[in-house]
Amino acid sequence: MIWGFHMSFGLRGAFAAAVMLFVAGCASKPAIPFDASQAGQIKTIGILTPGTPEGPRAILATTVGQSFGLIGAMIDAGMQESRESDLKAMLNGQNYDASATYIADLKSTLEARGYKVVDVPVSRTDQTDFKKSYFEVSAPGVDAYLDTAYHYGYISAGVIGSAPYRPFVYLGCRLVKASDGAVLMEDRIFYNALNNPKGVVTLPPDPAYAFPDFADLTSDPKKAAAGIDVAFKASTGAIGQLIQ
Amino acid sequence: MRERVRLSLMSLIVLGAALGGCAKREPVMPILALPQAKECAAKVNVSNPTPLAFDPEDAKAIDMNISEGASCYLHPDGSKSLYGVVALPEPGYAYILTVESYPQGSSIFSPRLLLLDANGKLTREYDRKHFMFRGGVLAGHLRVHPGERYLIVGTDAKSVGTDEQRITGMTHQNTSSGVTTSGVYYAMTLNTASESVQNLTYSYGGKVKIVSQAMPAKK
Repeated sequence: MIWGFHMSFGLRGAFAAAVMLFVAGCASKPAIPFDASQAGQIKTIGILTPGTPEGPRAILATTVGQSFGLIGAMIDAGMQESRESDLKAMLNGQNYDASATYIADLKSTLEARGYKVVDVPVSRTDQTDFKKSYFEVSAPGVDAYLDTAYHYGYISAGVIGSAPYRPFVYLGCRLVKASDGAVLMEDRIFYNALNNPKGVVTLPPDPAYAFPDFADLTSDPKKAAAGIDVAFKASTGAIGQLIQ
Repeated sequence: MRERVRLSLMSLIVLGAALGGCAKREPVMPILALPQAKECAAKVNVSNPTPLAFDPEDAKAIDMNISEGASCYLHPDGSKSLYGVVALPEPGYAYILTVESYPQGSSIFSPRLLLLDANGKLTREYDRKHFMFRGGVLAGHLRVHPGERYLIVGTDAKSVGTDEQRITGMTHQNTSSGVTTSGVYYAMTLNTASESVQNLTYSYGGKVKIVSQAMPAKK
């Protein structure tokens, strides 16, 4: 595990604690900036099949249950699963295809920067992380592979206090040279990050997409889907910005 | 006796007020325009750079304050730019350079970077669009190559005066503990949340940190 999403999202009831571990991991691993001197040599980028979650997340980062040990954590986990199931059904009802939206936005941002883009299908053992190696990846005419993995959905800092649900996208991106696997760029982008984590690109959420509680979110499916759309666009735009 | 107590109380009040006055900080206002009389040279002057060290094991950093009194140059596009000069380390191989612009109140320095070789010739230029927020700071990362000798940290005048709003969700953990009258130890944690909204205006000047660090080792 390179950047810890598996841990962050695996321990559902202890999300805040996992985020702290994740942030600590990010702070110790510096981003690798794109080497501008290579820019002229990279004309065609192969987008590897991204690491994707099973569905959207609906996270309440602080809950009352966290003050009540294991029983509280179990109750929280059940509530989170219920919220995620509702959110997934709601987005399905809107015919919202997160994976297709993400890929289309990514292609659009790279093409706007002058790159030719092709799809490179790959399989992954871990959907929440970068590929372990790129030796088996092959795509004729591709100069570099873009490896990404992301989570998306809605997050609220917590019910106690004023913190509405807002869309989030947390992603990792890595550009590797096709010829020798050298890392040309590696970074993490958090749209609507909690607690201003250091070392990762932090994109502020669009203020237009805020829902005071989860019931408000589910009562406006169209706006909820549009909020995720905006988050994907901003996050993939940031990937483009990192490789120019 | 009563008079003495009254005088002591008065002294305490005066002292308290004075300390309060000292503690109160003046808000930092963004520099939105430079004085007409500010002289700006056509070329940057690299004769008195601040040296930046390099250590392959540890990040090395220097702080820089770009103030209204800083040197100024006239960019080819006609805009005026305050600037500071850094003498870059020369380890003989590429390394990562990070330039961070720190918010001060509602003001944040709008950076533009120039990289020059030993002869002062421009090798690369990055405007504010190259910078992205990382945590609470506006940061730009780049790889420096052998032969790049000076970094000019100047103002990106085009974006001075523009605003940026940043909303951030925050979580807080409050733990209280003690011993009950029956001698039982207890500890309780309460998790709470809030949101912070930060409105920033890009400025001609501000606080900057420049960091050099080695490329991460290959896995």
